[in-house]
Amino acid sequence: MIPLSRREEQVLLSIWNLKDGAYLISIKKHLSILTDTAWSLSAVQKPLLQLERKGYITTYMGDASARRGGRRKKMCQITKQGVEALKTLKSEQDVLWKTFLNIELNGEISIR
Amino acid sequence: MKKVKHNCPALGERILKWFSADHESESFIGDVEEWYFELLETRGTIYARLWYWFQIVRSMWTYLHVSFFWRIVMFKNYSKIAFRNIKRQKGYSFINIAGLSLGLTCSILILLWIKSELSYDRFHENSNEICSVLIQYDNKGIYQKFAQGALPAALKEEIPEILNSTKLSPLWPLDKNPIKYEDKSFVMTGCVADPSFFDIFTFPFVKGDSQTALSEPGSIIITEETAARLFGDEDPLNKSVQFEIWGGWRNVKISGIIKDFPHNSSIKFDFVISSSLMKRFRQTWDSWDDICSPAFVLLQKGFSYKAVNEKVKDFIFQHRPESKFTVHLQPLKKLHLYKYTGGGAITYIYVFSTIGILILAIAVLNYMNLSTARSVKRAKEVGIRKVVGSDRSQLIKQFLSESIIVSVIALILSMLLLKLLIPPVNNLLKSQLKLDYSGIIIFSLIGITIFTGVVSGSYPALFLSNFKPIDVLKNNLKSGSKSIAFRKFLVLIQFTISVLLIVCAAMAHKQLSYIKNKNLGFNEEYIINLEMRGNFRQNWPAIKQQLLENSNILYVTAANTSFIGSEKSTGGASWEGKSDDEVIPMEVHPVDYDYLTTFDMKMAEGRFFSEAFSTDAQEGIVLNEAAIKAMGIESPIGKRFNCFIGNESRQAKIIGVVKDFNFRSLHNEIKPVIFAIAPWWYNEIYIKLRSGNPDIFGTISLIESKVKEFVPDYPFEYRFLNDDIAHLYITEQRVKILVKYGALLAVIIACLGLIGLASYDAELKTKEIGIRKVHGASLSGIVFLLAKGYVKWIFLANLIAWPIAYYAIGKWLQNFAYHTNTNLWIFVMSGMIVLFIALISVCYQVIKAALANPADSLKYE
Repeated sequence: MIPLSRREEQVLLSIWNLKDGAYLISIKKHLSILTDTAWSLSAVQKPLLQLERKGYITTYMGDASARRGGRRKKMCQITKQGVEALKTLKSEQDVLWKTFLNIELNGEISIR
Repeated sequence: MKKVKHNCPALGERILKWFSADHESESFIGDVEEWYFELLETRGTIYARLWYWFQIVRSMWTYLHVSFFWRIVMFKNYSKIAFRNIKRQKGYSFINIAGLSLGLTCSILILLWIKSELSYDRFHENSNEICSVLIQYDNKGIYQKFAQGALPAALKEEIPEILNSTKLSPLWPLDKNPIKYEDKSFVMTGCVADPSFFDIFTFPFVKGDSQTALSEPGSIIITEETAARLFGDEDPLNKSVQFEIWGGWRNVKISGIIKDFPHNSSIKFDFVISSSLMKRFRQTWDSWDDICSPAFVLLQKGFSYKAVNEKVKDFIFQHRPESKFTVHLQPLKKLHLYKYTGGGAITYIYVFSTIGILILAIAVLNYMNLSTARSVKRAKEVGIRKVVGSDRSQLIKQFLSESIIVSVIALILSMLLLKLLIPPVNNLLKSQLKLDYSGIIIFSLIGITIFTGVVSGSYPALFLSNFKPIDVLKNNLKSGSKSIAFRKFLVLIQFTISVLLIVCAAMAHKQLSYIKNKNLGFNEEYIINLEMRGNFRQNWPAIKQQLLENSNILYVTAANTSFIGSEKSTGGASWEGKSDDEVIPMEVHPVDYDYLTTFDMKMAEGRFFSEAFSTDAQEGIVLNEAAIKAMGIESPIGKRFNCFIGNESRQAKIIGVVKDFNFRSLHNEIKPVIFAIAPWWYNEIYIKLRSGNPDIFGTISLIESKVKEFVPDYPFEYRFLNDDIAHLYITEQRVKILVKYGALLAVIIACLGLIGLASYDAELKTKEIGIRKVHGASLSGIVFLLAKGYVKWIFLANLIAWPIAYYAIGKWLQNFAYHTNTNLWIFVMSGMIVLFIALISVCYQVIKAALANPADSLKYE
């Protein structure tokens, strides 16, 4: 299990969310709205390539459209390993974040 | 939704496609386009366009970045392999590098020399606008530097395109004059010039004012070096010196000191006086009737000299209708290379460039040959690279990088060689080559290295990259007959060039020896030459008589500088039987009675001047055979002959005809000459010393003391006549040396190549030799077998080289009026020499192979 970087994690999650309609532009729009920052094309492209290389997503060529000048889209779909990776990541995160959330609940923060 | 009218910029689309990776391009470009349209709607056209082009720039950058990175990675790999190869095959690598290095050194030297020759006279501010003024008689024949006295000033006055003019002449009547300050006196080269000289030419003044320095008649300008010799540390400005001209010392004042002349200036002198002083001694200095001085003009910027040339062609005719001289302008920049008056350096530039290119070609061919011959050793590497995925262009790049690397190493070596070689070369050729690391030199060095690398690596790269992996791995390399033939062809070319150069060197040597040994028509041995100064001429008879008392002095005679030196001619001769409109320019040589015997010349008809005949001095004339031939008369003895000896008219009879002798360089034909007794015109004496004299210099000091008795004021200088004659051929001497070394170098490089090839060949044949030996072949049999192939090719090379050499030499010999003939023997000898040297280079390898123990070579069978 190769660990995911933050960006890869975000992109992978949005692919999961978008289910069937995930390709570069839709991921970009989705992430831009959700994280409230501007994602450039390359900011999405690089993690996509990494994810594909790591085997967490598969790609297939989708429809063409006039808007794209007759070119086909590259659709992405998460794989089983991808889901596994996300689960692993979430559980690690939970462990690390647990103490932080506890502090919040207790209302006291001691900082040395 | 708005109907989108805009399309993606088409050009941008193409660029984007080109720069993105293939497998990504379709979807990526589609994505870019889709987003572009979104931006069009959300942010407007300008933003969208900007973003689009930004994407293009970004992808371009990525592409360059990535490819650059990988190129560096590959290059590191290639150079690692290259160095490993070099180290692994030290012998062959050494031969390659040495050969290329020698070739590069030679070419660079020649490049430096060419650069130096091309740079002559460029340092003047006005160098583009200065022209030398030449005149030509009757539109045929040679151009003359010396022009009419009134010409430059008149040109300046009347032709608007000519801004300024000046005269610059060596001092008459001798080229060197004594100059004296207090007790120091030296003989130096002096000139006379107009004040405008320093306005036209840029010779910076160290002291004094260039505007006024030459205006006073009594002024003189000297160079820094002259100042150091005369004045030491004293300040020379405004001091008085004396120089000798026309039999007397003149007082002049130093009005300026100029910097020493740079090496690449056609104009050089030790001191210069003003023409206003000259006018006092020679009233005709500025007249149309006296052809007395070389001249230069300054053209207006922007006017081509050709246009002005057309205008001034008939200028003299306009002022003096009876004159048949035409005016020609030659730009200063062309003066050194294309001298109209003869002796320009341009032919030598062509000759030496050719030699340089030929030698470099041999070195390059060497590399090609050796690399392809050894290619079998690299075959496995090529096969595996191809299998792993390299394509042919990458392999070509690899082998080209290797050859460039070798070339660079050769360059480094040749830089070292150059540092060692430049001083002796400068000594040998009296040149001033300098490896100054200026922009153009560095540029040409890099250019030459890369060019050599690429050219020499081209064939091996193409050849090696062609190996099919399956052949390699199956060890099935057919050494194709095509490639072997091509390799042999390269060897052929190498040896053809070598033979060519050797033949040319041999012929150059032969011609020069011929020139030196040819019966000049007189005997120049043991003759020394003094100049007459001061009141020498008045005391001439007394001096002559006293000198002859010395038993070591055989003959003494007098003449003037027309012998070997400058030309003094007249067109105004007339004789019995001459047709009225015929004009034959003839040279005039004043001589004395002992001229013939001193130089050991022979008469063809009649007799020479003799004191026994009192009328000889006023009414006797001797001509040479060339004159009689030009005049076309029969039995000349006793015929009337009238001419001008100097300014004096003489009505005389022909008393004798002397056999032609060569008083100029053998480049020129012998001209018609009039000899006459004219004591007032002597300024050189020639003394024939006894050849058996063990103490020549003792005799010379005796002569010196005798001369000083009569003319104590003047420094004593003498020259050996055969030195002067040798000096006439100094350029040929240089050519001979260069062609000799060029040929030597060519043969060395070719043999280096042959050694490499032969050793490789022998290596290939070890098995064959082993088997032959086992079957009882003798040592000599094997040697013969191996050597046979080379002999055949060298023979062929000779056959090709001989006609080419014959043609080239024929053209060179045409330069000379008198030349030796080409001899078949030379060609054969050169061929033999090359064969011999080649065999020696080969024989070591061949014998080593032939001596090998068959047991070792057949071990792995």
